[in-house]
Amino acid sequence: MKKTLLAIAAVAMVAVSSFAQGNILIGDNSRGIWNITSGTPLLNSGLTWALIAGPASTAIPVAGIMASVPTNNAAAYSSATAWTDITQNGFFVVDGTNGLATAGAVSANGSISYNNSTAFQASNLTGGTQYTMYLIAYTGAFGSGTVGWSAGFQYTPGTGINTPNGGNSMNASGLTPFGVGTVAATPEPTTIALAGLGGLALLGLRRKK
Amino acid sequence: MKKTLLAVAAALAASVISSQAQVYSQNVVGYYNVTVPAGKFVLVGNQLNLDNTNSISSIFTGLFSDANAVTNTTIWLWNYGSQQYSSYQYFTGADADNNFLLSGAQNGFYDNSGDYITSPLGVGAGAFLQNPALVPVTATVVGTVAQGTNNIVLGHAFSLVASPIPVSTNIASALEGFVGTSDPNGVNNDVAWVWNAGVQQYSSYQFFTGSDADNNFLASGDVNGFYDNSGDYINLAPLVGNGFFIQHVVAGSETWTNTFTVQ
Repeated sequence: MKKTLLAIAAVAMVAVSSFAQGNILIGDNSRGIWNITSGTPLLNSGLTWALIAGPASTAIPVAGIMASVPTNNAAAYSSATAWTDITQNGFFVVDGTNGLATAGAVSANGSISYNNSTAFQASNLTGGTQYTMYLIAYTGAFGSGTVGWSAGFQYTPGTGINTPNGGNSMNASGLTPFGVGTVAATPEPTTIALAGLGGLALLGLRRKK
Repeated sequence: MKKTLLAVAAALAASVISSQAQVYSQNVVGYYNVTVPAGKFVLVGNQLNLDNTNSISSIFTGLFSDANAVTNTTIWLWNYGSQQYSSYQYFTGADADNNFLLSGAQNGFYDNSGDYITSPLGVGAGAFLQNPALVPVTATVVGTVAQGTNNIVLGHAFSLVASPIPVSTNIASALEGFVGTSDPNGVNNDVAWVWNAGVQQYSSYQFFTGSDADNNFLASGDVNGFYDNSGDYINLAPLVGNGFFIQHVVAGSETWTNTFTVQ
């Protein structure tokens, strides 16, 4: 019945080749990224974000510090250590629309919107392949300054006319709100007592002189 | 992507002029063109009623046929139930006869087995047209403008739709009448997925009522409509002949009711 199976195969190849690209849609709801205070979280427009990806179903490399940074009352952590960990274990910064690493400013309401809410092909992601992703935000330049991060979530770039990640936004896929910044650790009572003893000792020395 | 709206616009204008002194409805027949660039996908919508059946093999003319089934225009129909596409190639009758060893075949879409496809693409429905050819294809749709009350049911998950009227204006406007599901926390809102033929990518926007947008984006004075993640209001006005997805996140269905009369 079919006259040219080769022709049909050729059509299939055309379709496959047009579906080989991996497309992602980056966004985060308002109140998604905060700076940290010991009380009410404050929105901060002076932050930059980046998207990190790695192997599917893998713990994010900063999980050893914290699975994600809460928006307030976070335990003190070392941003320097976090920067060392962020791209460990096969994780990398996702490329943006210009082929360079993703980066953008966090909006004043704590949201991010990238490429006018339009999906794009990230050159270092493969369509149809699942990744573990997480979002980071930081002060200053990438690799320095204070950094915070979301929980990891699973995301599969779309192909062709299929919606990225099956139409599930990053928020719907498990991207959590997170904070950026460290809170000075509250001194424990024993620490305060020792400091007081030290002060008294200093006073005693001065009187002897 | 170019569109020729002159015919529909002229028909509508003529109708308006001729009925200024009297208020009554009349049939308005017109057509529009949608160009599918070489090697591209375009998300088209049916906004005219051809014959109340509106088979995909009947409503489009001007598509590309290849006797060897390599560069034929291909339609990707969205099956709401399975949330998957079905694809069919366009053949002229002669090319279908040649490729499938048939006799007396009609112009239209065929599956790989040579079966003629008559699946409907009703007014207010959308589908992708893919043009694998090396030259642009201009699809022409002819029919009657749907007047009166047009209801489009939007079930849970993705529905591939189009405005039921051949007008390019904000679908959240009074003329279009789209009022979707809104959530003050930006979680369960309807999402519009708009295909950008130029870059062959989707853009997505959430629907908010004005008060919900105020709450979610820490703003004031917002209005009903679609917003991007940062809280920017989007004038979501697909071009005539274009379709788009509505993703109804929550369970159950809702109805997009459009009322349109040419006076």
